[in-house]
Amino acid sequence: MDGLWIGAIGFAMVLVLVALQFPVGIALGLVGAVGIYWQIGYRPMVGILEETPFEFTASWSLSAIPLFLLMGSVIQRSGLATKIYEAARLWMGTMPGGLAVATNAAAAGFAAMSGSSMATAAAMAKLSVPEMLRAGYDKRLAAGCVASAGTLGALIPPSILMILYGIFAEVSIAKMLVAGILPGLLTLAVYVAMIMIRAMRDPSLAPGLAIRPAMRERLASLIPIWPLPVIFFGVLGGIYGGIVTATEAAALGVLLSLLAAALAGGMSWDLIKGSLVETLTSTARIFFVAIGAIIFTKFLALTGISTTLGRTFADFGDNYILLVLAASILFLILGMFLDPLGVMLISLPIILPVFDAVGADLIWLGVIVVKYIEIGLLTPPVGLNVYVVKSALNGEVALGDIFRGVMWFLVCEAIVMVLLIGFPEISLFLPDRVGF
Amino acid sequence: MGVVISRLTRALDNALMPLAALGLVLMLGHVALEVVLRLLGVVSQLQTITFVSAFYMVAVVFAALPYAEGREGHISVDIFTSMLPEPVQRAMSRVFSAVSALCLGYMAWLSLLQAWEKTERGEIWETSTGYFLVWPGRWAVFLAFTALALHYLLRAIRPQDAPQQSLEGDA
Repeated sequence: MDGLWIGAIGFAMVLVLVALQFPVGIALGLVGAVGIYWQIGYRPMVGILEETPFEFTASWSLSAIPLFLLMGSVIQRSGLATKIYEAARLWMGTMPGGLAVATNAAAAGFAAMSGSSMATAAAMAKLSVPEMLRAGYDKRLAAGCVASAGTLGALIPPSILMILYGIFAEVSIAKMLVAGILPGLLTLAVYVAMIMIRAMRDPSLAPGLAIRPAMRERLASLIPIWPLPVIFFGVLGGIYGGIVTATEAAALGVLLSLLAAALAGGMSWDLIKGSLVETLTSTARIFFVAIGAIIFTKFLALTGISTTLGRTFADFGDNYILLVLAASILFLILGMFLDPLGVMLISLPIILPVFDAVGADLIWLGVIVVKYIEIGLLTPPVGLNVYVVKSALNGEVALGDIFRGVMWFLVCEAIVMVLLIGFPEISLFLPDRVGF
Repeated sequence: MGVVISRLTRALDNALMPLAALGLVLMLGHVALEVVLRLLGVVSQLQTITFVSAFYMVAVVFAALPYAEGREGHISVDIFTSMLPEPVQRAMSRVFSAVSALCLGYMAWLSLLQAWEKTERGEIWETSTGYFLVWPGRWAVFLAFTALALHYLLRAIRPQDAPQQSLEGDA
């Protein structure tokens, strides 16, 4: 049978198994192992299965993941997210759609210390939605805004998805992390503009706060959030300047976040234990899926599907539009079955060689891939961020309302995608200037 | 049978998780010390990259895997299966757990063979400062897959023990 067909069948089998609720990591590994056996026999399959888990895990580059997760977990438990939101609310609350704008700004701030999109959405949902609802905000806008703001977590560094992409695409992790900054800020700006325009056109959607906080109160709100710029610029400055690697920056970030928690009086045994357990379980789950994905990737490489597709699409030359459209369809389909990590790991063996063949910049591609995956967190039927927000709000806002609220943000995402695809410089300006 | 497996998995989870936590803390300390020494201009002989790769990362991932799987479950999307009748869903879950247990049991067997062979050979990595013993990390892989296989076996035998599936992912 043609390698292309074997690869396609393997791909379809994974999707069917996952749709039937088979664990993603095992589905990828099982189909990969059977495929390898079919292609090259039993002994080579055993060799791959014996070596892959240890060899993949015993990695210096990947050690940035648990350390960044630990940093985010410590920050989340130290109560800094609450203080960031409070400061954003006091400074922006009186603007049109002020609380929703403040939510987005706070989510961007929280994202700068947490590598997870869903962690950002969950943290912001509990903080801001009840207050927006009390202030008379439209519940669709309130919940949709939080679900969408969470996606900033995967763009603004540190981002776990960016690190994983860097590993799989074999591009600089430091450059990948830096590449997310401008697209993240662009997304934030488009979201804010949309909220303000809608609030000005229809003030009943987001009534402005009646009382303007005193300047003294606003300035005072900035004091407790000093760790935000210190950690962000400490971590990113080190990477950007070429002083430290991503892993070293993550370790320094953990120490800074522990120091911030201690100085804020939030240090406790519960914080340390809870952060360690959360980090370890998250890391283990990420690696379990990733190990399965590596085995599956080795199977796909044997089928030659990536090379065949790469050769086919190489003829398209600089015509990215068709490729981007094809990629959109692929991500749309995968997003219906898989979580963000699964989508990224299963799609990269197909996407990377194709875009590489047409000479696309792989750092730019990384931003586009992460953006697609984040959009998948908002779109039905899965839309994990939407479910996270619903769960964080204990069902206070119906699922359908959150999905409807997210629609406006999806329009914004379409605008941002057009800009990112049309102007790769937005993604590449900062990475091109990284200090090594 | 179910009780014995349940006790065994809990014992393995509880024994391995502190090792994972120790690995994470040591990794943090080791990396931070390396950076501080470098910023102070001291040429360190800490072999950070080797320690992180061969020991800490292996401990962090494999020693935590059984706990993560046992307590948290995996991310799954039930949009398609939720349309099936309840008994069919339950039967599918048991069959998939049994198949998963078989797959993971096979991985445990392969990693046992691998760990045994590497231990007998005294597997080492060559570094800039000498040789580094790495075979102990191989046993973490075997223990993790064994515990995972037991978790899924338990789920096949006693589905009521399965953890609540979470929609909250990590990325």
